Amino acid sequence: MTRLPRRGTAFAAALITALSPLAAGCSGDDEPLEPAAASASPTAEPVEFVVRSDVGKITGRVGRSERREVVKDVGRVVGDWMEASYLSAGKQVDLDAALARFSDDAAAQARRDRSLLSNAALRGAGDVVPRRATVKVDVLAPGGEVAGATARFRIAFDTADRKRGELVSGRLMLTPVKRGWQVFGYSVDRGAAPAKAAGKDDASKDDASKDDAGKKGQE
Amino acid sequence: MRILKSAVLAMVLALTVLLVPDGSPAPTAFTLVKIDHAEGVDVDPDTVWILAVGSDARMGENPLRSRGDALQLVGMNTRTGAATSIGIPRDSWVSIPGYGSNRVNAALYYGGPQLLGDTVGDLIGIDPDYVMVTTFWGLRDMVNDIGGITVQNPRAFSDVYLWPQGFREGTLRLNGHGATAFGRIRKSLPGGDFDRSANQQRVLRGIQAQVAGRADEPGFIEEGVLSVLQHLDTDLGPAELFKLAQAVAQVDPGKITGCVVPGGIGNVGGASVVIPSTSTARAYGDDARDDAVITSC
Repeated sequence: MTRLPRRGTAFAAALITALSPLAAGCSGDDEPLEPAAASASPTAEPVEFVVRSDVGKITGRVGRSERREVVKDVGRVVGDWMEASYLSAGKQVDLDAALARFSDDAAAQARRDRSLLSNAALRGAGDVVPRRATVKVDVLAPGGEVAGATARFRIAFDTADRKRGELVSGRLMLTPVKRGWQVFGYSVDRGAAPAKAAGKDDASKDDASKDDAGKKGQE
Repeated sequence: MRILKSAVLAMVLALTVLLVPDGSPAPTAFTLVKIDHAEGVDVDPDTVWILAVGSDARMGENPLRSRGDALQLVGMNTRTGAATSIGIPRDSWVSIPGYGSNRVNAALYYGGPQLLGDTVGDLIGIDPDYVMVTTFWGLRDMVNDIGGITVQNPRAFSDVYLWPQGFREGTLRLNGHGATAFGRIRKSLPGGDFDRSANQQRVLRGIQAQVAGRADEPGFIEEGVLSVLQHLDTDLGPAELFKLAQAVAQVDPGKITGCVVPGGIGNVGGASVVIPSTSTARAYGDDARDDAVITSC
């Protein structure tokens, strides 16, 4: 699935939901992800924004097709939020659009935390170029009924005026509502992403470095 | 927004660099980053009150129609991350709507969770939004499922039947059996029922800390909800439980308070009971009702 950005950003955006691992059933968290399709530098030509959605841990019983559906739908909600929040900066960020799938109270809290949950507080950052975005969806389905999901996400991007990129990771918590999924909570970390290797984006290095940074942050 | 500062780490790294002998290979690179953190969760109402009840039911008995021996009215402010617990001694002699006066723990036997919630609501002045009832073995299994808990024990105590080896003073790591005994023992505590209630609050803190510490593990909250569904008697739907569990995980340990309703020892019909200070109980309720913070006990 390929989608164009809603706003006039300097790149084309695509949301790709990779569902192939779902056929294997409950995947482990350490399952390696394929390298993301996006690769760019702040001065590069328009690039794709790729969100890779994967199944995380399943608690309860969910059929294969329903599992695929949940990951696709949750991945889309998270991808929409990422796109609206992090693929632009400053006044270009449309918080209403970014938080459209948040519950009212969660959206109100997220607005207060907008410096972490979006790029709205980045002034004069210039264009934003995504490096890589991943989502892993843990599903709660007691008795075979899907009741909630935790989307563990990670997005790295560069801004035109910065030497270092930014890395945002954490969890969005969602419950199914009449029209899809709604975000009712979040836990978000934001820090500097490690520098890219010369001329290329090393996705595996992103993961390892973030793990390291996260541990340091908790010490 | 909570800022995780890396100053200590920076200092350690700086000292490490200073202490590396000249002949040692120098580290090629290291990364020191500051990570900002934000979290929030939407549970309606913003400050949610849960009456946590430990039933004294034995295997084969209905836990919803037994006596509620551990009674903690727990409040969580999902906007601020504050939480508080108001402990009610089991033997508190109170008015039970429709049943005259009796020990508070009898309300569960007479009228189930609703009547117990009403009774505690009358005493504290806060009607719980939820009543969650667990059994001894339910608590034991749940604590085991989350990987045990850590409690801060202010004094050594033991019980020849429940925990003959005794709990030493200090930081204790407890499994499910130990946590259950820690919250049940009364006779060897100098403050009796009051100290036991305080120990139950320590168990609750330990559970919260364990949940918060593991919340970012894949599937941990989901498995916790499943454990709750299996071990607690609740009429909540799994989605609502999921939200509450996420709210528990986001409680800020630095914003947890807790008090036990004080009282005197009385005698009713030859039985020893606690005469609770209803004015203090109400004062705690008034203090914590909106923000889940008790200023002082």
